[in-house]
Amino acid sequence: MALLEIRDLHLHMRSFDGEAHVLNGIDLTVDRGEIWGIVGETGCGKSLTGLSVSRLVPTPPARYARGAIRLDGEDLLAADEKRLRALRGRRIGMIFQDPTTNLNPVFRVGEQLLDVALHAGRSDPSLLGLAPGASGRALKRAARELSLAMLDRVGIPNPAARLDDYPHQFSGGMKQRVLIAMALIGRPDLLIADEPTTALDVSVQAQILRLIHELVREHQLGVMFITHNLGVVAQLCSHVAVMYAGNVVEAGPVRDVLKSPRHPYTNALLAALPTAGTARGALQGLAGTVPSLLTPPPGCRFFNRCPRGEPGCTAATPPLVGPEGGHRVACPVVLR
Amino acid sequence: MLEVEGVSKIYGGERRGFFGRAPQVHALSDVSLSVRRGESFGLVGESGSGKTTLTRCLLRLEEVSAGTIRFDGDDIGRLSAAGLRALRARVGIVFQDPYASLNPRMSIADIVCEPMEIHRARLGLDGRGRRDRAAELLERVGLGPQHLGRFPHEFSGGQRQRIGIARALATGPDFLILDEPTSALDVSVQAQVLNLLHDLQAQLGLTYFFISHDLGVIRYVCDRVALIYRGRLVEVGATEAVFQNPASDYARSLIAAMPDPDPDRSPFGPRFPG
Repeated sequence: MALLEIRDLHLHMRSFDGEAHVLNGIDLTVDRGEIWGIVGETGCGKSLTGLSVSRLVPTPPARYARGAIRLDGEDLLAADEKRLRALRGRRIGMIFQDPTTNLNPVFRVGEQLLDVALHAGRSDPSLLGLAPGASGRALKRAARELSLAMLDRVGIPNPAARLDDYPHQFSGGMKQRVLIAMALIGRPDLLIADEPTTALDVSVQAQILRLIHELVREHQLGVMFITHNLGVVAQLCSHVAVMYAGNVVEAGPVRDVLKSPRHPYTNALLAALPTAGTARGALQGLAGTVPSLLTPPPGCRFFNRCPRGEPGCTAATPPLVGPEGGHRVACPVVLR
Repeated sequence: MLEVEGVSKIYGGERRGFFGRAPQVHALSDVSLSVRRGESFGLVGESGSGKTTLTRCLLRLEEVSAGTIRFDGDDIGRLSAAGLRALRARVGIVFQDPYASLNPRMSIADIVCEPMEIHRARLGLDGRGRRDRAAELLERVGLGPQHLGRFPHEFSGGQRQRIGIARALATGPDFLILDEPTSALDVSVQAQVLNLLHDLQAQLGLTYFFISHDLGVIRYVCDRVALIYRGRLVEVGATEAVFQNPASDYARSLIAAMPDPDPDRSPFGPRFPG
């Protein structure tokens, strides 16, 4: 059974101007050991897909109109808040974009880390190497040990001394390491990383990518790596899903998708990226804008900007076509 | 056109408490570079390396602690108030965040006309003339006169950055400082803005001082490039030469850290052989 299965997920979001169809039938399967890059431009729904998996999208104003999200077969859309609290941080770890706003500035880093370790340890004492029913003191001591070990694992020098530091005493890259430690302390199976390196310098980004790669190898994590940086996807990810206006338009092994892209949108994204050989002035932008999600056009949402659009494209939302786990494209024109 | 010689900028050393003084920060140490007329000069560095401090010094928004900056032969540190005004009319600047750099309460016409009002003595345009020029500038950046009465919130990020560029061009500058002009934009929009900048340079004969941490963009846009690290220039040279044969360790590590969009060149090896 796949670790994470998202099937035909439709998410509607209520707003003052009506209901926006922000996710329009997402299909995605993430297995252990796979790093899925979720790429797309601002507003395409990539973050909402990630947040939906950890059920952090508030309902209302959001509403899941259709579809399913299954973690090891368990339907997350049907789970109650108590069950979700047990899953978050334990089965599902999360890292977000801005390491500065994700740590509480008034608590020591050690305390914040310990909180997570204790929460995880109470629900599963074996995580801390304890038998069920261990004393609070033993739990605390073991949680501190685990926090230290995790900080050391994510490459923070002299972790014992840093536990008593405040977040402002850490650099951006070090804070992101602390957050990675926090996300992994409950030994999750699935890691959702939402633009974890966007706020960092490239050299720090390279270190964080290396760290994530090592941790995936070590623990056989499944990862959803949400980003808009195709370079990062090419380096780190094993698979990639390209999203546009609430749809996955192309998905598959990273090499297949980036080396022989088929969907016109994927092609446009790659053509817009300056690389070593690009002559000045030869870069191709993408004309037009993303359609309104309040009144999405019928059929393919990329139609108004598509160089290969045909009248038939507006008939129905094109489904992802291709072998399960292989290179899949949602465009009948290129498939023909 | 622009010559920076041995510029240092030291902040701090200010009183702290009754006896103490804050430690000094050497934001720039002995920076020398020159920008030729008509070229695109790139400045690359990580956060905190002194990129922004240097641009502030170029506009004399900060006084340098040592060294001189010459613009067209004039030492900008010795300019009179009138000379400084003239300098600032000749040097335009486009800021990083198009959401923060346009006043939400001003119409597009007001935003683009404001620099012309400040420099009206030099430009000699009346209200009508300024508005006409604003319309012309908007057309140049791919918008139109119908946008003059609108407000920033009605525009997308890419359009806002075009407005920022129109504003920077309002006083007819020949030197444009571009401070990470595309880092807040999506790639497809970034491509449009980069192409616009390229066209404008060809049409107006502008000189660009392009600041970025995106090496891919720098390589695409710039003729020459300078790498700055902790306030020191570590490498200056023709862009392709620096990218292909970096001389310093820092340049090598920076180029190696740049994520290559080719999956075959991943440092983690092939993930899906076959």
